[in-house]
Amino acid sequence: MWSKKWLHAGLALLLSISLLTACGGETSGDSGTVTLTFWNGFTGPDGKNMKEIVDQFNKEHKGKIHVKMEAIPWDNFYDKIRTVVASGKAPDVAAMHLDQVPRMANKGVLTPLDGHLEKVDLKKEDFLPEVWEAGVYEDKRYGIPLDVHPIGLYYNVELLKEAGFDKPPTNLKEFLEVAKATTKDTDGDGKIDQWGFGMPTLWPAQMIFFSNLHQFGGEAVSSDGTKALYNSEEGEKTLQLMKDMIFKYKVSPKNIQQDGENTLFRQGKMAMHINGIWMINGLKEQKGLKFAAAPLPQFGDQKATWASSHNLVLPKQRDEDPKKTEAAMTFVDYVTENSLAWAKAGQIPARNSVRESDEFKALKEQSQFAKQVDYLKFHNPTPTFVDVWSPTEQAINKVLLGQKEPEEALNQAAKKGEKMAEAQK
Amino acid sequence: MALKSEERRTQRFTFVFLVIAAVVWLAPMVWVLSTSLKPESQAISWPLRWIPETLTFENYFIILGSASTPVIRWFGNSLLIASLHTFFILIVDSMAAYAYARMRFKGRDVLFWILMTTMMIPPVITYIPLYSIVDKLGWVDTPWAMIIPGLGGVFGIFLLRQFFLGIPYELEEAARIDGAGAFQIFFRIILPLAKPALVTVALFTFMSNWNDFFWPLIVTNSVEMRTLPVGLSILQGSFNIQYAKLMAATVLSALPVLVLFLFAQRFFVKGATMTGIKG
Amino acid sequence: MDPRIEKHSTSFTGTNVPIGDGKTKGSAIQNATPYLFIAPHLVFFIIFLIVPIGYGIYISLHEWDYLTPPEFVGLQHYRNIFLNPTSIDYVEFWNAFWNTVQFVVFAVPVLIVVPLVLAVAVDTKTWGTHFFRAVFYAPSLLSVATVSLIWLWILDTNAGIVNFYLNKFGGETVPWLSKMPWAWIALVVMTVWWTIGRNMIIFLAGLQDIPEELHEAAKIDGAGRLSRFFHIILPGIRGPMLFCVVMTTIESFNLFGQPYMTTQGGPGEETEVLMMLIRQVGFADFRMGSAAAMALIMGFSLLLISMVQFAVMNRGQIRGPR
Repeated sequence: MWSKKWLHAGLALLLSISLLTACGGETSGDSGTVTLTFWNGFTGPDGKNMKEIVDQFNKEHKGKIHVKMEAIPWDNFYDKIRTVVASGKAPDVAAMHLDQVPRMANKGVLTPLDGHLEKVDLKKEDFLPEVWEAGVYEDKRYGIPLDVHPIGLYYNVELLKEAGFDKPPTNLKEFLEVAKATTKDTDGDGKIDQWGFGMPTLWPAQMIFFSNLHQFGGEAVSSDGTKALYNSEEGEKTLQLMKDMIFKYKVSPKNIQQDGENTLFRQGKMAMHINGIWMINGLKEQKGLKFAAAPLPQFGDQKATWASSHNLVLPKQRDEDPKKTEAAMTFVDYVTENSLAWAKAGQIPARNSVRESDEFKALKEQSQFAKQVDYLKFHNPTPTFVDVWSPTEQAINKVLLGQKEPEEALNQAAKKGEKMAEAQK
Repeated sequence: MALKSEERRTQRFTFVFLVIAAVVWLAPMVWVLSTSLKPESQAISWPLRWIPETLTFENYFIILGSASTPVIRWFGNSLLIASLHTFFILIVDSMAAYAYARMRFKGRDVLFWILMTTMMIPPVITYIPLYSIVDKLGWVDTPWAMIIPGLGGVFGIFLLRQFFLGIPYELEEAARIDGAGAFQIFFRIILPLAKPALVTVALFTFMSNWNDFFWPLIVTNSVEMRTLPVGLSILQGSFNIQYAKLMAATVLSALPVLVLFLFAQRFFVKGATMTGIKG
Repeated sequence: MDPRIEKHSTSFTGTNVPIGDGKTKGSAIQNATPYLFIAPHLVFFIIFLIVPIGYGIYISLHEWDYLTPPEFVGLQHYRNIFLNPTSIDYVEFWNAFWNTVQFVVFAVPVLIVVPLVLAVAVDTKTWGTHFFRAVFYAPSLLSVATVSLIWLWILDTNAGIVNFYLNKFGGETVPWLSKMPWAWIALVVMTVWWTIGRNMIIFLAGLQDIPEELHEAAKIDGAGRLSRFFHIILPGIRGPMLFCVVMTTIESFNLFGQPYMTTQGGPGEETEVLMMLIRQVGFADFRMGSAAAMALIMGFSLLLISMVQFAVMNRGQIRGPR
């Protein structure tokens, strides 16, 4: 008797699971609607903005195209995209970072877009040249840039004012002045409890390093993506300066954990903070925090700021369906054209027409970041850039924790990175 | 007399020690609960307070209402997957265990020896090939990837066989004389008798499937297919350093198991003992 | 080897009732019955356990990026891992391997001693032992993701409660998750909080199996508390101890979720453990061959370690008192 009861329970479970799996794969029926899946890594608050654009698109293309969006955390996304292409279950459209486009194209994960561009009005002239060029691998175009996202300076307006500054610093000298003036012991217990700056020891330290490296005239990786160039004199100088912020000028706390500088900034215990444009909305949510954004101060001899870009790509399908490809291109065009809503999530539109619009200029913080567009530096578009570059994260981490010297750390990273690139072939 | 007073001293000393240890053990949970009831901006402000200045449930509403992180759906997935997996394990393992315990057939000892040897093989060896197999079966990003492969395990068979060995033979004999077949005997007589062992196996199978992290992380892609533990790791990214919201999610994920534990404590403790002692 | 297996092997040929034995009834159906009973499990066992083991060895002998067909390279991955210090496989594998060993060495003693102490305490006749038992056991029901999030918050450098109290009582801010040796300490602490319940319960059952008379006799002989612990309790719980040591070692070797979610392998790569590396190499870098070889080496090291533990502790049993 007892076992029968369990058998019934089991059957009920089976039934419910078949329901569960069924609602995953909605079929559009034969109504003529083309259904597209759109994968991206917008799992944070930016996902909401992208969803709005997708919903708007679906409304405007009702009966013709329906897009279903799927957000997967970036790390996971890059792991998964290859396996789904291999097993023939690739999404129809995906967003990925510009340095991943050549990498994926090289592995045969993406469909070349040449020949499809003409059908929609995607033109070279409408995009930032460096970003537009980055979507090309071995003479074929694979990606359409959606946005540009640089890093920049965030500062606490009140703390700066308190110390007598009404403008953000623009160079190293000013930066140190402000940082020193705002680093202090507020409660008189002999311990510093308010900091001028927070030098991250983990992400996004790599982006600060990349920016300053170029400011000092250095290069990150050779243009073919196989050799490390960051273990140079300029690289050491850059990393030494970053280290000095903590150990010599003592304007940044030591041993900051992942996003610790962000916590301090939100707590109002830190005057300046370097991070990506995508942080804008997160910081706005912190009640009582008065902050503003500015271009990255220039520490080296020339201007340069790290930036990346989300590109829209079409993953390779086992059986290509021209109808779907066409629908996908319509969607790509639509999203880039309507990227103002996307800019609100903390992005700079890649399309000149959108970026130069009054609506975009009205976005206070975003337009501060956008002042840097003429000197933005991107990862070079090669399949193995990421492999050569990624060990710098640990090198920078070790140096900023005070456990290694810049020269040794960078040389080790270069050796490892070149090996990783080789293993990827 | 000396013994008595020593005993009393031990008793008091131990009690104080246990109270301190329990406070240490419970503090993290209380602190998490407290954080989850604070507005985000107060959660990270120092000096910190154990009792929220402003009591709010907004974090729970945000977590439950966020479309990109469907916690309830993840909970449902975990529940369904763990239940189904457990159900299958009970059927498959109890049948096999019964045969290995009470029937004589060719190759039995060799087979059983092979099964027991594989118990020593660490699962890490199989993850990579298993992924490829599951992918070929088309199960990636479906519940089946988390329900079926585990059915090849042998731990349940081992435990149940031990139990079956202890059931008196007279019961089976009597049934056989009445003309019952092997399946009838198994379902009508043996299984009902094995209820305590089945509950133990069920509980452990359920819990380990429910809490599994590595495998579901690898075989699921879409937001809707994630299980609760993997979902939480996604949440960590979506609500990066928004601790009040993260802690609300933590409470939501912990509550069901802790409530279950409150009611079924006896089984858990007995189960844990059984798995160890029988060894 | 495994006492679980040993115990069995004694009953292998032991008492059995001959159901389906050819002698009782000669029909073919009767003969098939046992196989019908084991068939469902056997099918899953072969497809999802035996085949993957063989397939894993096959993959480890190939270069495979999951997209293009595998290319046979023989023992190259193994050679790289063991013999070629300039290869990326060698560098990454041994870093992760020694990191994992470090964790095992730090964590296992704590994961044995703390539960043992708690078990002895809970076994004492005092107030509320059932309650205490439940308190210490409860965290082990949570998933690793839940536990990691809890400790991520508690150990936050700038906003966490531990550093708050450290600062309040004049201590320095400790970077729990971002610097050595704190990161290891943090990982051990959260693992202790999370997992000691199981070992405690097992020790407790062992303690309760020790006859009361032994304690009484020792007391009358004038044995002190420590002496009783070493001469009665420890020998009395050798079986549970063996089980706990072996299981805890295996589990510690399989460490994944805690560093994956809290330290992310940092600082540098100092808490990147084997399971993280295998996931990274296999499912992110898609060097499936290398990853499969690493997994096999890890698996065999584990097997070897548990066998040594059994051998050592079993020998102790023969020579021990009693």
